[in-house]
Amino acid sequence: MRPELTKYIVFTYFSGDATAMQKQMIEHWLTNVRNVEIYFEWLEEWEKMQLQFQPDTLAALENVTEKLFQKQEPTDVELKSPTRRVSKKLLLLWAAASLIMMGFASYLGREFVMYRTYETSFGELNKFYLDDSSQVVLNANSTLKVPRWGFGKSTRHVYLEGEAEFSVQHTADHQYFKVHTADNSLITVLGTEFSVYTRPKQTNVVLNKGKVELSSYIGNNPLTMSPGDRATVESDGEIKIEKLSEKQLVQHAAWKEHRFIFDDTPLKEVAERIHEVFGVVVKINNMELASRTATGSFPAKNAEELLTSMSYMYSFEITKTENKIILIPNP
Amino acid sequence: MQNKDLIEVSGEKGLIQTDTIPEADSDKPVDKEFFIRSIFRTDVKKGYDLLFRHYYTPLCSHAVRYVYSKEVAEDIVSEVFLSFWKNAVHEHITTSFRAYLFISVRNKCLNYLKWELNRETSEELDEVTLESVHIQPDRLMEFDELYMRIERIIAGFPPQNQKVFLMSRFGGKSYQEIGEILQISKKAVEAHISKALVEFRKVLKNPNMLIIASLSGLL
Repeated sequence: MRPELTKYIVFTYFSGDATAMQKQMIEHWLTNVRNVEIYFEWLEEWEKMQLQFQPDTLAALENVTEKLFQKQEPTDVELKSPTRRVSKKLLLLWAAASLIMMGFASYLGREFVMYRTYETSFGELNKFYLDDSSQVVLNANSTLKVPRWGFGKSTRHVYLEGEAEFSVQHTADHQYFKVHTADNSLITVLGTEFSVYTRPKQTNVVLNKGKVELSSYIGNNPLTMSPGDRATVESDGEIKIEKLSEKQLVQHAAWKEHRFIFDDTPLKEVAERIHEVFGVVVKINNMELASRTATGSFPAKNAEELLTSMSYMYSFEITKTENKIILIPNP
Repeated sequence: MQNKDLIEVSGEKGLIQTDTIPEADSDKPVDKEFFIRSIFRTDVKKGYDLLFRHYYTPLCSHAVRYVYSKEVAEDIVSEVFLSFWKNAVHEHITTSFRAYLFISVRNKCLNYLKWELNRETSEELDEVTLESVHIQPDRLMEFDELYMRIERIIAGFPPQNQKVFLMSRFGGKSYQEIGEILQISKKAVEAHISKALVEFRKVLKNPNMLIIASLSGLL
């Protein structure tokens, strides 16, 4: 006659308070597949009673759904192929599955779990410390990925897209801090202050203090920068170093105070900058206006604020449509 | 009015819980997922949503017992759901959804622990396959033993050590922030964390269980 195993005993077991005898009973009980299902049923029930924390289910569902359907869009194209034997729904599912598998198998396994991602939206700044006490200021529309584990154990690797300023702490065991950029440039430092700009247009590094080494994707010998230098990675992988004036250095760091400093900058470039930082498209339909240059320091937390204050000085009108701003020269 | 409500409530309960199982299915476990499964048959996306809403919280709560980080726990559970969808698991599942999800989450947690203790960024996480869902009772209980062990390790930390560890792992705070809150130096925070990890390794070593042995091989 088998002893009766109650839910109460199993709950006691889940809580880690079961005796050896009870554990043996449970082990025997679990040899029946049907009981394995009951085991999970009770585990779920016990877990609901003993919640460790309350996650935001709806936000998570939204997040997961977004990930699923973002990658699914191109399936419409594949569905047009004349395979009619399989039901449309099944096909859609398989198409989605294979696409997600291809695009995501590696991405998910690693990115999702392996990295902590810091992200800023348009117009947003974020200042934070990494586990090694290095400080990072992330400019708008930028992403920094930091390995969740292993960071600061041997070498400190981070992955940047966008713009950021780093104040890297020198560690007692002289660990390198390495910034990987979107165009496969690599910045290697021990402990310094520098800022990195890496967007589709180009990658550049400005060094405030200390010493950094920079190499581009072509993998030539790394170049060593001195304070006040700006290194620009050209599209052919060559690195150009120039000495910045005091004024230019200030200009470079202005974004940290939500400030834009221009020095004989064509409005066309101002428009590009606004697009990078605020995600707003600025259209200048007039050639003459586009090549007009701006000089000065403009505090602004959004595109409209910046353009409004510039419009008085450079005599243009701004017209705002949905996510687009058009500049028209004053007559 | 009241009568009508009563009927509706009991009707719904009957639908979800199927208190009475047909005799032919009596070798199958009590089917509490009948409702979700029937939705899956008519509308996959809706079934998936329902499944997610139903199991996300208990699964996260379970995962966090292994990984001791809310963030990682949520990532792991989300990943299991994503892979559920991409593999269209509902079409060829032989166990309950519940069993599949719990086992997948546990496997992923174990992989995470291996990776974490191994401190190797290059190791890929294994995919949980449907085959691996058919599981031996002793393996089930080893997983239980693992989370219980982890709980005992953490409970055994000295109070300040425990505080620092939980703030770092559970609260997702940086060493700097923890130092500021507890009014101790960053070095002291680091010392607490590394002491905690040493404890972790020590206790997870010397196991007489297979899955923990697979961990300790890396320690």
